[in-house]
Amino acid sequence: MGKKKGNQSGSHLQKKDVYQRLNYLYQAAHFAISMQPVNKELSKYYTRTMKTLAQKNVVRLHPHVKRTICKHCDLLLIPGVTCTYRNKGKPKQTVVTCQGCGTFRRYLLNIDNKLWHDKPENIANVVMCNKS
Amino acid sequence: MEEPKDMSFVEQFVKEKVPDLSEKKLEKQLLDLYQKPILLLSEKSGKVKKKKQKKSLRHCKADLKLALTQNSNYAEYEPLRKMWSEYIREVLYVGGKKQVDMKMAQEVFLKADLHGAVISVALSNCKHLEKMKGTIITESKNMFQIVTLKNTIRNIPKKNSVFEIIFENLRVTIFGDQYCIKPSQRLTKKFKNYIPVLPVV
Repeated sequence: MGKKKGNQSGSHLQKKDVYQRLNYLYQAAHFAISMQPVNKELSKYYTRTMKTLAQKNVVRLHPHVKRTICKHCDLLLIPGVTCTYRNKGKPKQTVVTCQGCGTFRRYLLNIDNKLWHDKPENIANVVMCNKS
Repeated sequence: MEEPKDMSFVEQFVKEKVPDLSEKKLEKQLLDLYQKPILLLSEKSGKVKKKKQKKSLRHCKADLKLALTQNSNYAEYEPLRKMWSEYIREVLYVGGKKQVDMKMAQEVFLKADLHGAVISVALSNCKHLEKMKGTIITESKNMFQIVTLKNTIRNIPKKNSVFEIIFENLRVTIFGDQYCIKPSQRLTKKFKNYIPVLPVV
């Protein structure tokens, strides 16, 4: 989920219950796809509540999590099951198409492209939620 | 091309339907009708672009209804129930302690997620709603959706009934009248601290 940045008070997290709830809903969405027969509508419902929760409580989702959710129809994107990955032409890019609604997303293949969140200089503090 | 014999019918027809035509335009129109070939069927070549609109909430709920009729097996939702009990165990036992803070437990259950909990109706105005038991699948502003032990899906309204959740040692009672809020807004709302009038048994 969202990483804490720039807080000097150590291991104290505000809004910890929100993060735990988002985590639980994300896992429940994965479970809904593993049922037989596959129930795509239930997983869409869970990801939608996840998004509205994050919006109402002013909490940002990590971009790696956002990339696995379709922007149009809120499906969980799992390669092979609900989406297709293809490599295409100039300049070289990977195209991810959602099988539910047909929207696609393009990522340019460039070595210098890195998310701001991935650079190790920008992470100030990592807090573990499980204390057991 | 020769003009057909019933030309006057066509002229009258055009004059009736389009009364404001001048004479020049009338002549042009009639010439076009007789000399130009008219295509009745046209085959469009190329792709037709569909406009993508986000489905409204009404459509999404109707789709959910259809999809859930195939998945109404109580035993299939076992992993969901396990996940829920693990999730609540993390939230209740804060900091590795072994006893539950009773003050904290109230706030925890108000703010927690109830998807996957085993719930039963203790009291209600409707007699046939009592003794309903099952796991929660979806939750909205006024309703719970439940999978019962008999492999059916039921919608239960929140108002005028009292619910019960049993978790290890604890028994939680929820007054449905005061719980009629969307689950995403429940985190920020403060609840009033009084016991309402119970439904008539």
